[in-house]
Amino acid sequence: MTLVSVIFCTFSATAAEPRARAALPTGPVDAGRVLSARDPVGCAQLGNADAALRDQLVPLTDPNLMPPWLPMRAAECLIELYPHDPVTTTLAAGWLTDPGTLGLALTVARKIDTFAAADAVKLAGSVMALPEGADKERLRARFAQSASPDVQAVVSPVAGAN
Amino acid sequence: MGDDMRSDHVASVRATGWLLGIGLTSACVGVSGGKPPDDSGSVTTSVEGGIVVTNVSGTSNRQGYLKVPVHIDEPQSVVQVVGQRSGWTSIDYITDSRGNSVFNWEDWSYSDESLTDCYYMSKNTTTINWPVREVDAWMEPGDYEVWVAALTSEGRYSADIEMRATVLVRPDANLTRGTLSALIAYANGVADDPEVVAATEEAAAHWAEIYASIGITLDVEYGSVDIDAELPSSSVGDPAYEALGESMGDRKVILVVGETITGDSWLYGEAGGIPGPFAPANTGIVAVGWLANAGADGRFSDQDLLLYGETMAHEMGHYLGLYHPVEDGFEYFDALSDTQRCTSYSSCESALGSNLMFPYPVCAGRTCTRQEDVTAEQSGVAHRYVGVL
Ligand SMILES: [Zn+2]
Repeated sequence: MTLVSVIFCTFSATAAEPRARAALPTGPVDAGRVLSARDPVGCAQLGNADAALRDQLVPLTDPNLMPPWLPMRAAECLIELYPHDPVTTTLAAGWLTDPGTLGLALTVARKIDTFAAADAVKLAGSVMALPEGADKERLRARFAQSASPDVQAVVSPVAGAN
Repeated sequence: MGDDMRSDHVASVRATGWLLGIGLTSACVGVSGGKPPDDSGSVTTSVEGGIVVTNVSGTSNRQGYLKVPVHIDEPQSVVQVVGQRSGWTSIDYITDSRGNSVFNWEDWSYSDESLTDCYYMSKNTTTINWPVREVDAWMEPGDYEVWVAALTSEGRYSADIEMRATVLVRPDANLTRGTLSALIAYANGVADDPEVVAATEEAAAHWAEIYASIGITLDVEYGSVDIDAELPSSSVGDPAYEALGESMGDRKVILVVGETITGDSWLYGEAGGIPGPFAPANTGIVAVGWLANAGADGRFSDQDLLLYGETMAHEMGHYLGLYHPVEDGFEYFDALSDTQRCTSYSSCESALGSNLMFPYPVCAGRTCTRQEDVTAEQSGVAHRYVGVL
């Protein structure tokens, strides 16, 4: 590096690194506490997507847990990290048909394109068997926003009529 | 001393250039072309409800700064400067007329305490509200400069970049009484759901109770905004948020209620900065996603409503300049002396679990500890926010 280049570089230094603000992440994670944070946390903060993490997440989807966003985030991470795992698809199918888990069902609907194509169609189709009402309509509208034509077709009003 | 500070800064930058070596040379910017701020751009001033608002535009100088002039007439004043450009920006210094440092980012960049986000390189908008704490001292009559940087996405200072800044100044010796005017705006379709509207109003009432406990009267107005209910991230920013700020008659803080934020239910509350701008900006809002606050059943219980209100108060607390008292694996803390330091989950929950700015609610079964406590120093930070009138 020449002296000239050093002088010219005097005006091109690296500024302060943006120090990310985060809420109490840990080493080997306590997923429950991490996902309880009031501010944004990502599923990646939970660590490696291995079976141990999956087994931590499953009980955290219990709808009775507080704060209310804890089971929502746990479900989100389960779908995001393990979309092809039968554990995830089985839970998702249950949320879609349980009238007490509309929030979790909407999470499934918003993440439907993460699932394998065949699973996505099956999950979306299960909504059409729900009793008519606002919850069904809300879920159907969510599934209709899928990028998959097959999912869109299965929740279309025509499909429901059939 | 202003020139001295500049020289020191250049010297430290030069050292960085040496250390980084040849890898930097190909990315060096030119050193000519930047206009001194007093030769470029424009300045307009108005008075809005006790706040003197000055809009400044210009180009960054050869060091990569727009040095924004700030004139203080009244003793015990607070100032907020919002720097904006189409790329990355930060606020690095405040200097007085003799060049003495009032704020210097280098005092904080390696600290384990957080005072302001203004020097974190961020896209489009950077905000400083000064003073933050009692120890920082009021802005007293005189002339100051706020150094707003233009940066590349690699963090290099850039000359001759068009920039603009909004300067807001008001006197404020009263740290016990104030009013915060807020707009709660529903994104597309949200206002059509009566359950969400009722829950939001009840939560806002709880937010108002919490702020009333520190002498801040929350004056809320409701409205709707043409933004998708999957809200854009407020920390990343979106032009729709700036347009919303521009469309308001009076200056207010804004809380936008959507179903989710950037499509993720776990991202359910987010402030556009610490502090956030009291001026139209693409990060100029607090975003809240109602769905995650309603939880697994998609419906608001009494406990959900308390937490929803705390979420509003907590996120707006960030916007007013408050950090978590402890975060980041117990390695980072706020810069306040009356929020206890702690080093484990159990000690932190015991010492700070009822504090409004604690990072997460402490829950047992279906019940969570109310997080409504605000320390005297936290209250002072909020009262010094330029928008608390
Ligand atoms: Zn927070």
